[in-house]
Amino acid sequence: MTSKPFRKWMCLNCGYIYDEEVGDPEEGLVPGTRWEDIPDDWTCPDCGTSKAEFEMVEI
Amino acid sequence: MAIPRIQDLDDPTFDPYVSDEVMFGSMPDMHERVAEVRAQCPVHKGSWFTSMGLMPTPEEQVWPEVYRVMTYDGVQQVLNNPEIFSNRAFEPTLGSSFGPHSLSVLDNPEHLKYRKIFQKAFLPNVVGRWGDVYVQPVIDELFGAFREAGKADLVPQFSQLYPFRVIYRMLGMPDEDLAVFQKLMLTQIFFSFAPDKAKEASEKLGTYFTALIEERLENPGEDLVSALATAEVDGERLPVAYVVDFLRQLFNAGGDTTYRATANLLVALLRDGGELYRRVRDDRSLLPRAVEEVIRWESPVSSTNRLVLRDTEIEGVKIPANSVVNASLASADRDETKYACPEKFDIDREQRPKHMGFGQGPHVCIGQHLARVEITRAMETLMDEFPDLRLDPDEDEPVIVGAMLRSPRHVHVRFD
Repeated sequence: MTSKPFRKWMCLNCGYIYDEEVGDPEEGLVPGTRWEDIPDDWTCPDCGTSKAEFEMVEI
Repeated sequence: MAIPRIQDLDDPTFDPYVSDEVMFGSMPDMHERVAEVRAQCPVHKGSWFTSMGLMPTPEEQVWPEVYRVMTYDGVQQVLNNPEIFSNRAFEPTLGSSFGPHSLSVLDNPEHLKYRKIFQKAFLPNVVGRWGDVYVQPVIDELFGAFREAGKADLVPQFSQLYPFRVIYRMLGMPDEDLAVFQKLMLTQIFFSFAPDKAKEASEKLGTYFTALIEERLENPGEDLVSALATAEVDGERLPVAYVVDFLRQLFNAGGDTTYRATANLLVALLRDGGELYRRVRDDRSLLPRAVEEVIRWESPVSSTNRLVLRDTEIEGVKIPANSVVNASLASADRDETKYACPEKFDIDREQRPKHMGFGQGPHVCIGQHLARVEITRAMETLMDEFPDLRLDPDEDEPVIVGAMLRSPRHVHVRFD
């Protein structure tokens, strides 16, 4: 079984990148936390924008 | 339609670099003073500017009650609660320089609506491409001018020039106007001690940008002005006034800060015999850490302002409505309760919590990703071309000075 590749999501308001592989431990998101497992009320740690304002990106 | 020539100040001898010390201070020991104040209390009455011996700023005349917020937690509270702490605090200062539609003075929902349009041009996946197209050619040109000399002063010959030139090229503006343009961009924020000059510079830039936008609307190209002039928000074209104010802001926000951060990083790496320079030169994976650490260690902007919209409390101190808070990013980034040995430039430091050098919240620095690309490119190229770069033993050691925007005036170096 192959695991799904990690993806990156970007805040369109400030450019903060959420990398699933790295997570954001300071925000309580351990490495490997998938985007869909982050609560919908989570906000961008840099600018406070809602999760809905993120887009998946290739960096 | 031809692009108009930009008009110089009526007094063309006015030198904004000399005036820099009057506006932003020349003290070397700002952090020591700040640490003493922070140790006494997290929030103090009185403005950052006057406490640092700088001239009072125009907003103090409008809202005389001012508080300085010195701790990381206090600054974080201010920056992340825009419903209480408004950017209208900048109306009498940056608003008069850049214009009333500048992102610096807007609150939500208007700020959110327009910021996303401008941020689109500065997202990481966009500015990464600019490294090759705009940043590297400017760096190569400037280094080429002194490569054979064996010595240089990297502030006037490099750091003070390159971010302005990068933005200038991004906008597709004519090379012959660059010197006047840079002078006007720096002068427009001298609202405290040379308000007439600041107003003149702002008006001349506004006239120039308005004509430039009209020209690009007629003949759109691949440049940033064309992109912004033709951008749409909610199905409507971005109003010209918003684009003009953004362009006025762009050079100061993206030029003044980046040049100082680059110069500060040079000081941090080259002092003490240059051991850190050689360490990063030999292990480039350390460079991103060095960039983040210099922005924490010497936050490019020492303090930012917010207008208090309703009675509130910060770190246990009651703050009344209609007062202004100076949220000290420089003090927050040296808060001993967050960072061990905060006065030490330590590239091995975990940046936790994240530094405040780019701010936080809705107004977090729109150009932070470009700044990282520029500083990284500059240092990579420097280390490739001048691997033995060292401070010039025949010149004074560089000293980082200032109380608002801090940087060294000179970084004299030698190389073989």
